[in-house]
Amino acid sequence: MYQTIQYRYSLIQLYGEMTDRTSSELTSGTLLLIGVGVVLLGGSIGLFVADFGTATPEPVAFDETVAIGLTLEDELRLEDESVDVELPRMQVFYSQYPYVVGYYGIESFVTAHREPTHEQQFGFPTVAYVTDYTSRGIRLTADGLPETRLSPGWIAADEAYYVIDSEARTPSGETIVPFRTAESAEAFTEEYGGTVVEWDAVLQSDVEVDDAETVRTRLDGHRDEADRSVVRRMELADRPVGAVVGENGTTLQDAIDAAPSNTTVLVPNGTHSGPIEIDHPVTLRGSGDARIEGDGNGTVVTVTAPETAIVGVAISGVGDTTPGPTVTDDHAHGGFSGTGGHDHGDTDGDDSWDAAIDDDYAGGDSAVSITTADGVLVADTEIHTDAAGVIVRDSPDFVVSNVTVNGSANYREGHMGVAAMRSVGVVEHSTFIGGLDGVYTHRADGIVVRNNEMYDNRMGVHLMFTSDALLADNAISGQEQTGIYVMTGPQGNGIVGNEITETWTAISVGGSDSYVADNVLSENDLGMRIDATASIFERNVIVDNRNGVETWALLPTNRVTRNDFVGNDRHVPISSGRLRVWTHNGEGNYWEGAIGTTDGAVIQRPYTPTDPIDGRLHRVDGANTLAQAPALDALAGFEGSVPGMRADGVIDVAPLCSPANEAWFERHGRTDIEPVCQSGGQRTENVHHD
Amino acid sequence: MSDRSVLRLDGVAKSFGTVDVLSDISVSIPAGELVAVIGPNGSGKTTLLRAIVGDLRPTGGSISYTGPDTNRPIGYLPQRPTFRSGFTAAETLAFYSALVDGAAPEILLERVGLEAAAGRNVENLSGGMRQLLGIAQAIVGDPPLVILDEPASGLDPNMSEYVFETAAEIASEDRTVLLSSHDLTLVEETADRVVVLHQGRVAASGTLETLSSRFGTDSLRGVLNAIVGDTARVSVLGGEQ
Amino acid sequence: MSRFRGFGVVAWRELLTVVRTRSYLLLSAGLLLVFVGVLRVAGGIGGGYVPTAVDLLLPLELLVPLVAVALGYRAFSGENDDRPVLRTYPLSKSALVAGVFAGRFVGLAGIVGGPLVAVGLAVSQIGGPESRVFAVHHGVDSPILFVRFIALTLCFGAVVLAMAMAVSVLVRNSRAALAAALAVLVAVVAGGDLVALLGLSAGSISDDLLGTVLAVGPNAAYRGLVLESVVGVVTDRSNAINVPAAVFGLGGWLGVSLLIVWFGLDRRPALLLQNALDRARSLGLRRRLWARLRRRG
Repeated sequence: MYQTIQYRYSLIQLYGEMTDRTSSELTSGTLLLIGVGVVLLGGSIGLFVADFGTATPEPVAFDETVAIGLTLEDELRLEDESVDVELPRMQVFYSQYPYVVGYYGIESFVTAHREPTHEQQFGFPTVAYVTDYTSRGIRLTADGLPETRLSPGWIAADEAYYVIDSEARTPSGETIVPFRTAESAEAFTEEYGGTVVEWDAVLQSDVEVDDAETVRTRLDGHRDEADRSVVRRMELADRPVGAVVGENGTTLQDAIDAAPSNTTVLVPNGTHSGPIEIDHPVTLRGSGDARIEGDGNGTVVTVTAPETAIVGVAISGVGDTTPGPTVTDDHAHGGFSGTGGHDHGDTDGDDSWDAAIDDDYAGGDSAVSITTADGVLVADTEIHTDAAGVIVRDSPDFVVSNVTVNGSANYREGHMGVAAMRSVGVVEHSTFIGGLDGVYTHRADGIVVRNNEMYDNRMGVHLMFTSDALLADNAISGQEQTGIYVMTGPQGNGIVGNEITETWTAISVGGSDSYVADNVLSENDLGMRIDATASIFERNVIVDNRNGVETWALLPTNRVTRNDFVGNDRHVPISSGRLRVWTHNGEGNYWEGAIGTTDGAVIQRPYTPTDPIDGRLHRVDGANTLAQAPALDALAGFEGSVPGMRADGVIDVAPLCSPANEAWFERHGRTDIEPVCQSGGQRTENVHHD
Repeated sequence: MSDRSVLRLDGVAKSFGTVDVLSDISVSIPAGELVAVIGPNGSGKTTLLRAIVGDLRPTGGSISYTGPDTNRPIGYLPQRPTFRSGFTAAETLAFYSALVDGAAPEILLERVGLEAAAGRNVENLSGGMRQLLGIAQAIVGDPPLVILDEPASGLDPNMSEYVFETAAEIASEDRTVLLSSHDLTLVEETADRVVVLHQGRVAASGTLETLSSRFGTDSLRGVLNAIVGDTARVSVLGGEQ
Repeated sequence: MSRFRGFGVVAWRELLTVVRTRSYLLLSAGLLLVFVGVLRVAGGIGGGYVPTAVDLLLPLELLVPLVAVALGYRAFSGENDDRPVLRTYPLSKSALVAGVFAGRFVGLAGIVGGPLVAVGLAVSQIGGPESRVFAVHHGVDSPILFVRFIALTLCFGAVVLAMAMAVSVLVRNSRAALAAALAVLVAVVAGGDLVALLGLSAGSISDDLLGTVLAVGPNAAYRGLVLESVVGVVTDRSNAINVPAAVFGLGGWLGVSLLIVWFGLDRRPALLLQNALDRARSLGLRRRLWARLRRRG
């Protein structure tokens, strides 16, 4: 119970008295305190308010930027054709990316920066410069490419005036032309049309640049187009008979020469001597076991007439001349890969920058040689050759269907199964065994290579300077070097549904804006090497390889999601460039070994395949325990937030908890897939109870 | 009783919960004397001293300091003084001294005879030396009233004697020492005045002579025995800790 | 003798106490070791100040409370407690509280800030990415951002220090003080976030309120402010947290904790509780309570 407290706290009283006495001192002390406080507070507010004055960087030489937006082919061709062409370019310094990014065409920046992951990977642009055409004597070539008398300089993007919708073009299409002054921009529109706008309007403008999604959406159309092309070509097989070999003692060549155009030359059962030449449009159709056998020197069948068809004959006796070691020896490891730095000795005094390539890659003997002949069909044919199978030069709309090329057992002594030089067509349902490359293409934009089988070549499909190709549903195995190799920085290739196994490198893809999906890469030394940028890699199954995927492209602009990484010694062994985030719209990839709690779709803990611990999770006991150490967990937390300034690596911030291609794993009776979607992130086999 | 007092207690009471440790303590401490508070264990000595320095808030009554106006009116040596390890004796005193613009630590140490230990860390001081350091702390700033709670507890007889001598030196014309102790002999030798506490009340107070004649005994022990009773019974009213 | 002077004297003694306690210095060395380890593993140090700050953010969220609790939980107990004596000096309670807090805070700033400054210097020496082929720049990065990071870290430390000091005042028994300090640690490190998470999943916190609710937990407020004012600057992504709420939250914890210290200094809450119980007993409350319970049973 309380007593009435009647207590005077003497010391407090005393202090009260003291306060009076020392009030002046107190005041000065308080003033001093307040002073110090104000200085501290001001300092700290300044710390958080002040602009910390990052110096605006000056423009760099465009060669020193990491450049995108132009294929190597266009770059080489433009250098070759006109020294005065100066495409509109842009260079951008990002807040979280240490390299300067160069764009050919302002529009390629405009589309790139609209990508949802763009800002996460690069940060925001701190400063951007565009080509300044003012007072440079700009005019357009016949193709609409800008040419200048003086080389243009740079101007800050937000200070420039832009002409849109004019006649100006880059090899990729319409382009925006920047000027320092409104007057020079207006002057340009008077001559070439278009309207003058400022930077904000450019960012909002309705530019269309083909990208990887374009490739994805046009896949079906591309297939249909190929189907139509094949149907059209196959009609050549039904031409009326115009001559029969052996009737009246005629040789094969006699019959060909005698047959009227647009008729069929019937080749009966038996062996017929070559070489032969077809110089007018006829169809060669074999019956029974019809064979054409060369004399072991030179090419066996030479086609120079359009709409020629070779159906149902076997061809052998090809000479053994090949271009030799310049091709076979390992250029594949050299300068053609990737988007930058070509070092090929191109023109050598010839009139075209790629003349030397023609000699190197399409020279030598072949079973069938097609030159400047549109719409040729080669079908139901078996070829034995120590050199090339079919070489197609400058002959668009060709179809190779159901052809078997048995090449040299030693690829160094052999040559291409099909070499398509500047020739777009379809290669399908064919088999390529041995020899150098199953299908080699050079400047064959839009070529379709599908449903083929390739065994024991150097490479399965080898694209050079070829954009917009469709490589689909091929079964490739036992390649000495590479299953599918896309070199020389092209754009818009689609690589889908291929199964590649027991090959050194299953897929190596360069260039940009390409689409690589639904491929199954198993038991290779390396599943995939990514040199490409701005490309989509999705739903690929990457199983049982020594190394899963290597990524080399400097720019982290790929979208790599919903791929399944299972049973690889290392899922992602090497990555060069900056840290990449392999997650898009909250979805990453399936990684055997990824751990963490899940919401039934993705795992909350980020997975870093390039991390020494995460990378071992699926094969080293104990890594699991270490990976869940709070210290490491804590590190994983924010790594993805400023990837641009981090060194090499790959991080997936939303790993899938079950494979994207679960059906594939079921079909193949894989038992090493244990989706963690329901089990709270713990795989039973990884839980140790000891 | 002197006409000049330094501290006046008027009906001071302190209870912990339902236990009344001090009841109705009214006493006046005259200036310039050495006053000892004695009493059996649990009689409320420490509680009383802590209430005086303000370490405990009394549940009743009033305590008034009536001495001269000064920076530090009361100096205090607690029963169990604490010193921070890692500081030397001189640094320890310098800290307290800086709070009142007091004397230099060397002077303070000299006054308790501890000058030789100035540079020694407090955790390395012997019990007696710690006690002396505590006394030096209590006289920092020259407080008119110095309160020493059991200054000689746990010390050997020589040291106890020295501590009491020091306390006696401190008590002077304008400085009062109020201490508590169990050592009746030393109290007899040095105290000018004694307050006897029993069961939380002032059982008797006055000069030694007054008390002797009142209780008809020639020793303080006799006085205490007369108040408490012959037995060595300990009366437990409730400990503070 | 001014109040300010007493503050300074007390603060100086606290600082010396920190400096002379070797285990505190070991703590600092340990922090530096952890930083080096973390940065080696995570690799942010090569990327500049911001990636470095990002790498250190979560470790600091755990370690700063640890240091703060270590510094604060015995500020007013054991041999550090000479309040019975200090009461006899002309030292106001505010000056004492402010002095002890300031002194220990400066100690904390040294223990945590020292290694961080060392890391900052290392970043300035390492200097970011290099290339022989391409032009390289540092993006948006600045030592000022790292200084901001250090400042926020120290603010966070100050808040937890004040909380630990409050515990030190409320619980004097040293074993109980340790347990209480650990409770503070757990509450600071996990409590706020867990409450926010629970609230979110129970639906009692609406999505647009999350940024504000998060600000209530000191560590979430700290994390949010770093993400906002250091990382957000270079990524241009913000809204990590409601900034005024976070500042207010941290300030609130600091203020309330220091107020508890101020009020708790003269009182013994544990004892008050005991007294209240005694009083209740004497009033026969318990007996009546029991009787009532028995009637019902």
